[in-house]
Amino acid sequence: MSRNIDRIELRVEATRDLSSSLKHLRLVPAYGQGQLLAPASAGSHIVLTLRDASRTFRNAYSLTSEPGARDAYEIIVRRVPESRGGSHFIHRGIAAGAVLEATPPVNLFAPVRMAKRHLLIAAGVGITPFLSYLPELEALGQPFELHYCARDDEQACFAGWFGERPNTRVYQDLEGRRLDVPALLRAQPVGTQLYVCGPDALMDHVLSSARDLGWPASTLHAERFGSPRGGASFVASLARSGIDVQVPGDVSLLDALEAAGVHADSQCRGGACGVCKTTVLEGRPEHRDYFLSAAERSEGRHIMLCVSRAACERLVLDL
Amino acid sequence: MQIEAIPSTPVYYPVQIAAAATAQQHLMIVERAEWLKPEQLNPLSDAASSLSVYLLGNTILRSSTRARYECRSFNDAQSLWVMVEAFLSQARMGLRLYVIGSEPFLWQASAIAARYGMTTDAMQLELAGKPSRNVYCIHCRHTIRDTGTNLVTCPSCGKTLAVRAHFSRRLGAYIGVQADAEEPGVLPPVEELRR
Repeated sequence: MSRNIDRIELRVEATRDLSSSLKHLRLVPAYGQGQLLAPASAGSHIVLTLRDASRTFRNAYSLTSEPGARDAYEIIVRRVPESRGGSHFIHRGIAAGAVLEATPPVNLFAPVRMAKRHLLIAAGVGITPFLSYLPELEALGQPFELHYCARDDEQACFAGWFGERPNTRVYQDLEGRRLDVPALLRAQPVGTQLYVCGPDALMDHVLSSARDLGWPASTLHAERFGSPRGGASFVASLARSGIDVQVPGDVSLLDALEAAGVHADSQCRGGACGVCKTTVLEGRPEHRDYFLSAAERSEGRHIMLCVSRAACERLVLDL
Repeated sequence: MQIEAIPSTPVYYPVQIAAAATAQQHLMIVERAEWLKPEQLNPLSDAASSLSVYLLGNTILRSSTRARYECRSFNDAQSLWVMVEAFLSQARMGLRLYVIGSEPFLWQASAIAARYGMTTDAMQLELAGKPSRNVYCIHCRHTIRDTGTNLVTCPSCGKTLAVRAHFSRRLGAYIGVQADAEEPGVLPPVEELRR
């Protein structure tokens, strides 16, 4: 049996400012000379635990290191003005030598190796999971196209990353208005798989266009790392632990539980992976995840702790 | 001894053409024209998407359907599959594939489509005709085509094989295992397969 390792410690070996808002971090094993990290496949991410004086943030970051690399994990962090705080914290408070708690890599966004072709659409810092796709797809010898909608500084940073590849196109426009998504999708030959990562509006536009054009569900892949939007404050009553946890309006249910010392399984923290699915015993959840089916949502028997909240004042959970 | 279904045993449903709005292009492949019910084509009376019907055998479809479609018939399976491949090599995403035929026919179509990267959720397979199975001999790796009984003799290695419920989608065949391996010469009675 394999040991279930859910926490590793990483030391920040070096940081590099790619632009005024993009920071590159190289993370190595915290202890032990010559220790090797677990290899990660293309599209993997890790969750970093970032402790501020007042709060703990857990943010997921795509690995931008080469797939299979064991000496270091690399990530790129964008400072978001209205961020939950974790990204801001990395930009302000993390320097070489710092030791961070992390999860081992998990992959919820792997390329489909049986595919004939891959269409990658990224916007903004959503380019990061695809940076590990490029070497992987080239090693597999599978054709792909990458369309990237970028801010000015991102274009300057990542253009060099793509080199002279003729199958990558960069659009200087974050919202993707210059990218004609339906026309691009309509032109794709049978056997193409679609991957999208970026702001919600662009992802929703790409996915709904693809569905309208008859792309089968199994060919659509999206990676969402949005910060949970806030909402009204509410109380989570934990039936098994016998405690009440106050969830403030600007804190997610999962963060509030963790701050109260309650252990709840979780992984992506973006409502995608389904690991934090929890039974609701009383109260009405307000679903904000991408995991539960329409039937499960209307039933209201389960909630994804990481992004969803309460549509009432008190939610009783089987925790 | 009938074969009892296990999770790998395929389950088939009648072909239902997806509403026109959800797909751009539809390809229907039919092994025998009489297995296609004209009303199965009707949901496509909307001109927004196109339907092609490829038929094996020298039949022209009766035009009792409201749907508009392009129909081609082929004298032999080989020229049918060549044209199916030509179709797939030109097709765009948003294609739905519908196949009506015997089990070996369905899985041959499915294997060709998979080779072009089509996913199973873009395909519908409808079983028709009398039960007929391809059986893969696990002893010599020969595939015996169109069998209809629970026991078959492998023409390649001579063993008498019991046809198991275990179905390989990649091979499009049921797994055949020597029937009297435990007690040589002791064989269950031969039975015709039911659906």
